[in-house]
Amino acid sequence: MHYINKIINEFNFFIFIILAWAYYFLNSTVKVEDGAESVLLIKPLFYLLLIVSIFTFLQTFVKNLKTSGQLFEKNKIYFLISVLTYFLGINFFGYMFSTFFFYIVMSYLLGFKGKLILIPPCFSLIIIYFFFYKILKIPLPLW
Amino acid sequence: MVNFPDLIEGINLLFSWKMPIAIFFGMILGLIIGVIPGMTAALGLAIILPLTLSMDALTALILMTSVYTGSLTGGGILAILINTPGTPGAVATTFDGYPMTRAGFHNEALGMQISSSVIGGILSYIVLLFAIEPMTWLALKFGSSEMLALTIFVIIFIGILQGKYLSRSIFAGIFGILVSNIGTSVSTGVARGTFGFAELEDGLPLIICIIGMFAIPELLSLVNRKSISDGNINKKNKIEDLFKGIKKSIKRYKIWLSGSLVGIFVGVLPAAGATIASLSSYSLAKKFSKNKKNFGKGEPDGIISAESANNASEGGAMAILLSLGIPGSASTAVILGGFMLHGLVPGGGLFRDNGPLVYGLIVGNIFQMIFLGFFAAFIAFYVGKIVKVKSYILIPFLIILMSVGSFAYRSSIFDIFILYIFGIIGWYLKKFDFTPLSFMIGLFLGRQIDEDIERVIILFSDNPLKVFESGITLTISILTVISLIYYFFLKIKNENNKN
Repeated sequence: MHYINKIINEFNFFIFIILAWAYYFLNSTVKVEDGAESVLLIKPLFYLLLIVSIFTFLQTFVKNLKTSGQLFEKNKIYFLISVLTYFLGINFFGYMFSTFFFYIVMSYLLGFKGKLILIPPCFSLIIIYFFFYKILKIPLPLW
Repeated sequence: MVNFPDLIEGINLLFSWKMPIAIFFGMILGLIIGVIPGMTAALGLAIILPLTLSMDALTALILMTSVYTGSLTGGGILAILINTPGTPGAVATTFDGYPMTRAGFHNEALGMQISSSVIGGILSYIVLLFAIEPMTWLALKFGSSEMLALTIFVIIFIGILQGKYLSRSIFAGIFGILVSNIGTSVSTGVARGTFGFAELEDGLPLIICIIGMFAIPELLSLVNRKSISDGNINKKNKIEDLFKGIKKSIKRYKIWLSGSLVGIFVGVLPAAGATIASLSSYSLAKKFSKNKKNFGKGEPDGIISAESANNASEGGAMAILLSLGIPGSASTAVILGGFMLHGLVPGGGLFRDNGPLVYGLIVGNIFQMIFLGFFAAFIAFYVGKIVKVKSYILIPFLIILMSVGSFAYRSSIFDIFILYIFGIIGWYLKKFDFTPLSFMIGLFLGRQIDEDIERVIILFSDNPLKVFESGITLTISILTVISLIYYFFLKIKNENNKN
């Protein structure tokens, strides 16, 4: 983990370059029959990004910039995994069940212990159902 | 300038029992929508639009503008309390509002936010009442080249003032512009950078990206804290603090006056809107402040400048909507729909044929702002208690609220994942000092730049230098160059002083 932190700290811009390259690559393969330039702004931006990344890289090394604190912390990782699982779960189990279980798991991981843990999810679901679904007529995801 | 018989007739139209009810319900709905992450003013307006069918035109329009005004102010409340702008225009409010909340001064911050919003709104409608003609004349002077020059100026000016490291700030800005171009190109109709997802062909939903970028990193930092307010946690939630904030902001008349003027000016410009208005005003206030170093750490001037400009831009946007029929944002586009639903067509003919209605609407909006002060103070005070709610209850609740808000935007689960991805991008940018704001500005203005560049190339392909034949383009371009030179001059001077 220490090495991952170190690599990300010094090559932090690299991930954006990869994303930008993927984006540029996708667009450079687009054929426009009329000859109109759909990648007009994208091409110069990509090259500009590469040039600026050199300065960013130099600045990171010359000034020896360090990030504050740990990049990967236990609680933050739990948070990100729980939220992603919840969002994916909506697709499979529907909004109500996923929300109920997500609320309990998340509260527990953040330190809520005891039987009262069941009250906030029930209360929240009732509020969301009546306010969004009944009053504002807003559809809920896979209700 | 002002047609006084029409104005008096317009005021007479307002003396109906329906008006206070329309303002009350519109304002409450707007404020509630504003404080829910992911819910936009446009969505709120779309919900009530069919309900206005049975109403007379003025009541319907007053109801719609009340929702709009309420949500703009509600967005600021959310920005102060949980560092999440409820509306894009409230981005700048988070910079100083949230640090004040963390220090236990949330009620003072909310008082400042509400009073400066009300003042900005009232001033903009008064200016609108007396200067709608010159405002539309100015707006008509802004073509593609002028807008392009202005957008570039705003990006550079704000980037210079906000970033910790210039290269990282520029890097984030360019990446933001690149990401903003995801979707179908307006001029060629070709889908760009969609990675095969049909949902991205319409482009990225900006409000969801903004919420993801600000809210998820904040919730990530909250997992290690007991509640939002970690300073003065035992301090009582007093309404007196709210009034203290109101008094403080009224005293700082230079800040709200300049903020309102910036807001009105930017609001008039097509497609500029509340976000550019509040960011420009914030940057200007920072530039000319004696307490530059306090900006971003809980400086009251930061909140006042951002919020006065945010609500003042509403009057400007309304001017362009009423006189030219051009909606500056999605919300004003729905209001335009409200006009059409009642057989009214905004433009020069609207003043000629329905003068009393237009003046009634403008004066009604001034009354609305006064009501707003009371409602918003009441709601903000009670919503303010959120800062003491335990993290293990608040974090999951906000996540499920954001997921509903994101889904409601286009009824698509895909948008919930956009929220998550932008949350990670926001956290990453923040972690490595890449200035999330620069990325945000790039994201917000990138499409505008792309469209303007395409138009400018079509218009001036024979001689690109013709762009500078416009006095406005030339002036803004010179200002941009001067700002850059001034920045580097100051940077070199500071380095020399350090050595």
